[in-house]
Amino acid sequence: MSLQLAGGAGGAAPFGYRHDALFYGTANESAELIARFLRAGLNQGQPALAVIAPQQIERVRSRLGSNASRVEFADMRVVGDNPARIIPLWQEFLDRNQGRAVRGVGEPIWAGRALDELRECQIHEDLLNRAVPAQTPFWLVCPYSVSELNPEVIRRARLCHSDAHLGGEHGGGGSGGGDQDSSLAPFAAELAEPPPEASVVDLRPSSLFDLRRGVSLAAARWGLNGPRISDLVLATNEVATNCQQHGQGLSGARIWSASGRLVCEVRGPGSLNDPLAGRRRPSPGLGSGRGLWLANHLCDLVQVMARDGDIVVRLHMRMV
Amino acid sequence: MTEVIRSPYAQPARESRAFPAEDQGLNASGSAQSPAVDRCPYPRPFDPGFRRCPNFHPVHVLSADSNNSGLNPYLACSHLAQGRNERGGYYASCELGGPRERAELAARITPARLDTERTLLEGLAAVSESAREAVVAAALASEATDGASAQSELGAAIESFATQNRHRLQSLGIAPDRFARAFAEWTKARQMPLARLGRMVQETGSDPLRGLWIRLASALEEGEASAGEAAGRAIDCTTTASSPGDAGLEIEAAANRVRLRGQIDRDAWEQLSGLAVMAAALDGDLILDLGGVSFCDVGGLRILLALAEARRERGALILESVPEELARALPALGWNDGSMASAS
Repeated sequence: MSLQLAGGAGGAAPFGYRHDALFYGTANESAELIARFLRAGLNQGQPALAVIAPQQIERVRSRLGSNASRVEFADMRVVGDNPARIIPLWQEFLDRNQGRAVRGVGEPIWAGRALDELRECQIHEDLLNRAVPAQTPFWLVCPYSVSELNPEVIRRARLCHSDAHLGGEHGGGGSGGGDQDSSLAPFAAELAEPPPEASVVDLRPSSLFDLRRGVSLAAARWGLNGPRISDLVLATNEVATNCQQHGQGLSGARIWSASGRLVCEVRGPGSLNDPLAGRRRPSPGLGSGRGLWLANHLCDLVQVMARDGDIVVRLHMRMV
Repeated sequence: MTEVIRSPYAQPARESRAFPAEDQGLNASGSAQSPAVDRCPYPRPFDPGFRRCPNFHPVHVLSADSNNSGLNPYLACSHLAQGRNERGGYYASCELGGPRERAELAARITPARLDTERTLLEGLAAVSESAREAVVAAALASEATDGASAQSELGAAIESFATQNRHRLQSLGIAPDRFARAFAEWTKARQMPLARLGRMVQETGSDPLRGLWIRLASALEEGEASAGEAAGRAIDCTTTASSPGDAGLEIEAAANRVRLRGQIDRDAWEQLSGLAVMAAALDGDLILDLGGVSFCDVGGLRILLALAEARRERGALILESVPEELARALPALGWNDGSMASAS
């Protein structure tokens, strides 16, 4: 598989935000291409951050040799465990290097991601195009394993990325193939009903207190440990409070346990105004907008569905 | 509508139809195995007065045989579920888990409370037995009229029981009328004519009153709160909450020390803001003791931080005993120790 990543944009000409997919066959091939991409950036004095799997970090490091110390690495298995935590990391990297051309590599989707996680990864990839202003000199490449991933996943990836195979072709400031107007569309993707073997408890809360109590009872009963119960209770409370404050209250809540996960769902009439809610670090001041942010940090996965005038938020806790 | 899904039956084989066929692949291995950890270790059906298991939650089951003749009521436990081993065999499992989980749960609920619950469940079973039998008989005979009267008789028995035992119920945090209402809700939720109940009994051998009994047991366990009602056991496991009475917020002020008790959520923001307005005008350091606060949401914390900011000139705001889960959430909120320190 050949690729001309090192060519194209860069050099003296400032480029805007560019979000490419890199479709690779083997891990070694991917490591080679990533190293080449990063090396080309380093040669132009561009800071770089690669968020990939730990084994891949090692492969890229060894290929970069002495240059490896000039690249920042982060373990995607940790950072991207909940995909909603990835954008804040890029944001922080961009803030730190404001005004400079930078490069990034992020591989949020790997074979073995649960279906629920996959949906959130795809939303994440869509939102990246929204989160980064078009004029930001940031070249981001997302590796996708064509040999391991489902063809449908690859098809989706093509929709929100420029294809790195096309080489130096530059999409201008157009942030990959992402369509700005439809950036709320990813949240409309249907959430699957709990599996038939799941134990589902319909909470029908009459107050926030009631909701917290129900969540805490069910979580304790299914064996979530103490501090994680408190985290889930707090996250649920904040999401439900958001529904009351910004929507028209809660229309329902339920909690279930399936495949080693506890999922708490809160539902209410309303619409999603800010697709990046929960992915922007709140300022340390007293402003609002912390509900989803907090949920993203307390829970292993947060899913949001906005369609037909309803918002559904699901908070996942892994049962360890 | 989703209901709590659980199988409380002592005789799992009879219930097998209610469960989806499991992955046959699991049955392939014929290897010997050790008994599952969640296997119920006690002989079933349970003897009247059974007390050996601290978590025992009696459910009186009325059933009929294949000829629709009533069988003697037997005693099951609402925690009994149907486990399935690797070879596809059934065993009676405890949905609370293994011995360790069971012991932990019993300790959390407290033996006294469990005992009150058992007394109530057994008392209820005794006073309503004839009425329940009448309902089953009517259902089996598909006699709608008799069924309706049997049903209302049962409702009356339950209601009078709730009145007589109101103090016991209240000690569990359950309003007596709430308890009686469980019956009405159950019959309404089923919306099942007795004739159909009768057919169901004939076809599956299942007890039409099983659902009612579970529901009443749930009402007992879950007290007032409707979310808790669905969620299951009356375990007070909100980290530090001691009783359902912890809803709402109590404020107790003495000199420059304010003690807060209860839970701070959106419903308490106004109250807390009121306190903040008064406290902002106080001179000197102000201590807010959050030790009695079993829950504080982000909005509540925001009000407290705004108060710290507002009275910066007058003195410090010292937060004592911040609830643990909130303290853990602070860094994620951008309020790390540093900004807390500057706020206090």
